[in-house]
Amino acid sequence: MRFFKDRKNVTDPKRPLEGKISSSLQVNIFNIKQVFTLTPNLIFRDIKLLDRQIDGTLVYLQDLADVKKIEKHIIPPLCTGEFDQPPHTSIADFKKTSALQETINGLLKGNTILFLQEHNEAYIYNTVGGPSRTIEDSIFETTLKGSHLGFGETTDQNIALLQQFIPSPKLKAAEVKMEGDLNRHVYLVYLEGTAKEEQLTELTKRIKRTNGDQFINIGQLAECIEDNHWSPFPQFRLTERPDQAAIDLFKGKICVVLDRSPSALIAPGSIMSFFQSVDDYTTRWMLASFVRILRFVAVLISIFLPALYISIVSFNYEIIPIRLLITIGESRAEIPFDPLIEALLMEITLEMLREAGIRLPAPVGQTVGIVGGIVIGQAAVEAGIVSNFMVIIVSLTAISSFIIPNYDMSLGIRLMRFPMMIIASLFGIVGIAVGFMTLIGHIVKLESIGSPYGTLLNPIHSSDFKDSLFRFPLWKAGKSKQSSKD
Amino acid sequence: MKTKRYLLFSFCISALLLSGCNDKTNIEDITMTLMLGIDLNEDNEMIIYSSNPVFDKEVSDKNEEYSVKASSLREGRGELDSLLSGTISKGKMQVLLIGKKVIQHEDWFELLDSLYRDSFSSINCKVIIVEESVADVIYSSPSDKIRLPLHISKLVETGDKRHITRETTLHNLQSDYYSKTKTGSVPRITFNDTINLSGFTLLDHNGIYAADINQYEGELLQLLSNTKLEQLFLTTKFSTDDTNPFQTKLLSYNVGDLKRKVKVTYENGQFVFKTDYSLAIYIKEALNENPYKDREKMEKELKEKLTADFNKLVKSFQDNGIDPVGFGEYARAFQYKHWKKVSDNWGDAFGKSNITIDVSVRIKDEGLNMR
Amino acid sequence: MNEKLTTSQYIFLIHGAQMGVGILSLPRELGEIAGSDGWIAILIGWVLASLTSILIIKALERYPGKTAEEIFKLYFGNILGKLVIIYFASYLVFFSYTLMLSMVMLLKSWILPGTSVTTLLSLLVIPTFIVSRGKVKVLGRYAESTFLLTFWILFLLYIPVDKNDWLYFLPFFKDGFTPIIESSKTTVFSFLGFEIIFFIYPYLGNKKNALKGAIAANTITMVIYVSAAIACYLFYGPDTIGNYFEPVLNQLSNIRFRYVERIDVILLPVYMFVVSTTWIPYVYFTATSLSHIVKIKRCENIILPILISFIIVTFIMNQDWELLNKMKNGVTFMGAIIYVFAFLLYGLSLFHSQKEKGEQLEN
Repeated sequence: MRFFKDRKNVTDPKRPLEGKISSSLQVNIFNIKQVFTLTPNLIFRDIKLLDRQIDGTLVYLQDLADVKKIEKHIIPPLCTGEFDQPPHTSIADFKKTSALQETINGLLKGNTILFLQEHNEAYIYNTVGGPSRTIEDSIFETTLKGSHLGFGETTDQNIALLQQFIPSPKLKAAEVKMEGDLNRHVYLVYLEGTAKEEQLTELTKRIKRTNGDQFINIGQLAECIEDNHWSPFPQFRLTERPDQAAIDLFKGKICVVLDRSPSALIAPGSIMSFFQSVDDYTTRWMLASFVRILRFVAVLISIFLPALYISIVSFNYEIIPIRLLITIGESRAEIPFDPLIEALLMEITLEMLREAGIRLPAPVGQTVGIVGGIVIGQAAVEAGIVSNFMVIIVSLTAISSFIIPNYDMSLGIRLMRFPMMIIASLFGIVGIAVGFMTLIGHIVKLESIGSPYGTLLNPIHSSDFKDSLFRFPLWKAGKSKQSSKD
Repeated sequence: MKTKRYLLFSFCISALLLSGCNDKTNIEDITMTLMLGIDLNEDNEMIIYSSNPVFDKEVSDKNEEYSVKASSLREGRGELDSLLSGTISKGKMQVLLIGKKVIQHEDWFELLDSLYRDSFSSINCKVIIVEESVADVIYSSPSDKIRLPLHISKLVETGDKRHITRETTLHNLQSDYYSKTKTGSVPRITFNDTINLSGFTLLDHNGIYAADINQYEGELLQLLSNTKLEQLFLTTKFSTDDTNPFQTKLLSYNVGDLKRKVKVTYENGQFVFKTDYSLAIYIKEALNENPYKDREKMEKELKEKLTADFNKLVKSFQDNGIDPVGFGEYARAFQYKHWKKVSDNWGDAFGKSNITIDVSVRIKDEGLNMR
Repeated sequence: MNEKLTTSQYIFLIHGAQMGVGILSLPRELGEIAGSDGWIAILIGWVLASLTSILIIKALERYPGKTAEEIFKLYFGNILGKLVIIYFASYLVFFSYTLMLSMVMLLKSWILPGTSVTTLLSLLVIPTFIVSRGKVKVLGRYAESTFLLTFWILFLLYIPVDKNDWLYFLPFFKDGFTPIIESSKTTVFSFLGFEIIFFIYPYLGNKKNALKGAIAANTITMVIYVSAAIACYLFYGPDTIGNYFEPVLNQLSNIRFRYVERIDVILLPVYMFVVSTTWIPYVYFTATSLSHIVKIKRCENIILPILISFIIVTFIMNQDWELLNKMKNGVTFMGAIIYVFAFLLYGLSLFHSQKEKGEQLEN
């Protein structure tokens, strides 16, 4: 946050203009021109209303506003129709303002402003157009059977998508303005009566005091409004899928939509929700429960397996049976490195491969996978740098961490592996236990906008137990639409 | 400010943590004693043998064996330290071989003290009595077998499953030693070219050698002590023909289920045990017999034979003044007052008690063959 | 006071405070004195502990919105009340330190003999610091999660038990009732921990469940103690139960699965979770008690100094099992006074209510 604030006054060309709109058309146009210097696509279009009796100017940013709309729905009615207050156009979404700042904000969104001579008020017509993409499936969160719709970049579109999923007047979208000069705002979408009042007010409060000027993505917003900054775990779920968001809305959560960001923020987050996917609801409940348990096993493996290997090899070899022990001993005998170094070497290689694979185009990415997985692994074992067991363990942890459906969570969990490995190399299994204790303590302590984060661990009285570690059949879980109470 | 304080705190903690961890020993730097042997030589000096696996691929012999003279296990380890390159650990000890000469001396059990005192030594280690010299067993490295300690350990485990022997761990040995109602029994191996299991060695209430029983008697002992049965395989010969070996009449069977009832009373200054064993058996082999047709006759013959064998075995226990079956537990549970008087030497009191054994046999299955 | 505990959090906080390292040696202590009848002594301890818990709740009931410290001041006046608070603070801090130290000593003698006690203690300080800085609600959630994550240990104890061993329990009352009564001295103190009710009762959301919850917590503890004692006795029998300091751990070391051996090495660190549900709340409540004596803005700020002083004390002190036993006896003695104190407080509350009634009648 401080980072953003420091730069505020340096590059900002749009200082707040505390002027009212003047009754002189020229003054208004001059003011606008002064604000928008070096803006080539700013268009002023003089028109004469009502048989040239009243002068007016339409102002808009070309390419940001929908010019066809202006030419068809604003200019002809204005020029031909009777002059009225408000002027007669065929655009329903417009408003009147007397603040210059508001017109500037409107312009930047792609609206068209109408200034009139002898009027100290301007009209803002919604002609938002500009570059946008069609609705596509989310590449990032794929599902097998879910709907193939993903959020786009415009707020209106995203809210509309949610409305399609939940056609109910109870679906509310409250606009919340953020701090800062750019007047950024987000929408809080929620189901009235299902979402909790106190969470709504808390969230609104937090968003309001955030400076949103330099937010490109909703991830930045999430970081600014989360409860605990010292946590590896994401405290809000970001989703690109409207159906996922709709499921969460039904559970009483609040969906935050930011313009220009293709994902929506779901608050409050709970650790369980990061291990759920839309497909859990489209497959049969037994399979879904099985898959969910599988994910938890995967989490345990990906956090603890390398640490466990280190502690067994360096400290507590008593706990594995002698046959396995001898096999490990034989494969370790020629390795020059300490188990920790061996594990770190392989884990870091793996993380690098993964990171390399993400940014590369798909065909090249595959090559990286093959080179990394097979060539490096095999060669390292043959060269006697790492043991066979280490390669198996690293591959297992890699696969396990890919099972976690949420990317942010999967990153957080991957990160946890390293401190665990270090503490295991210092204290063996006692170290792992202390690490686990700290982890549980941390999760239990975390809260997301005031509601407990680790509901998985206290399922006794949380009402969404039926949809946590197991997915109970829908006809059983039907009653529990409420989010957990405590 | 606050963050700085926490950072300082966590820095101090991590410095503390990093400073003191001396327990780390990597698996390849450990010399794991998989098998330990204790024996006496001709001059009654104690020799300690140890057998350790070698991990390095450059070495062709996969096990190394050492022997030292010492007066205790821990002292012996001190001696071994000067011979071995790795840190010695008993954490994965599989087998403890004890020479028969050792257990004939009083207070030999004290020797094992370090195995019970050290939290790192394996309490699940199997104890085996060696009939002849322990050295012979330890230094025999059969080329057609896996590592010797593992081989012996596996031998006992499988034997335990088939009830040829019973796995006696360090824990069992200790609890039998301290028990006031039961005396110990330890599996015994003999060695001539190959290692083979040969029944049990029985100890008296002081843990000193009392008697040996062979494999068949060992199986009967397990029946008597109501062990949880998995696959107890018995063969009973009814008659043998000296001229033609193929005319032997015999029956081989699995004992599938065993029910034991023990009643204990105290009459005329002695304990009276009335025991009732009912065996359900599954015929696996019948030579010159027809268990289908003569079922009742067979059951009766088996019953007589088994009763006689049981009685003979128990009689021999009584003569030696030992109770490896654990009848004493019944005496304590049901005749506590009388038992308490003799609790210092239960074996002796058991020797004087009157015991009757009733066996009933039921053939549950004859197999597929009608003849 | 805006945070509320749910009933199950309340139950598991009490239960968690009762489970310490005592259970590891309890079967031996009982077996030595009362033999196979030792488990009956646990029942006696349970009755007494439940009774005392009820009295505590009855005494606190009159001022449902107030914290323990405020109530002490109300009952005893400002100065005497502060003395009581100081007593509690020193008891809590001593209890939690003794417990942490005995856990560390156990870890040292079972798993990490070469690591220094100070190092291990500082290791335990990390999760303690993290959890205890959360408020009562976090402690409640932690206790609850811990119970769910660890209660299965109990079942493992029954794996090595043989079918014939039930004979060890016969005959009942073999040496009369005297040894049972004698050993109940031990068991009464193994239920210490219920005094946490003083501190968590004010936070309980549904006060109606306070009594039921306290009894439920005591009962869970009792069931765990009894089944551990029975399992251990079944495994070791009367003649060998006295052989080891912590027979429960030794029993676990006998368990062998196909892919895992030496379960004790795994379970002792896991058991650390269970023990931590005693010391973590106690460290927190030490801080809250102290904040009533020393003027301080937020009681969480005292936690770090307390924990650092733990490390320093361990560093300076030369600790062995002998000293630890003395410390345990000290804690037990202080706990005994709490039993008496609970009765006293109840008497006082009765007296107060009588007086109030009298005043009402006069008016």
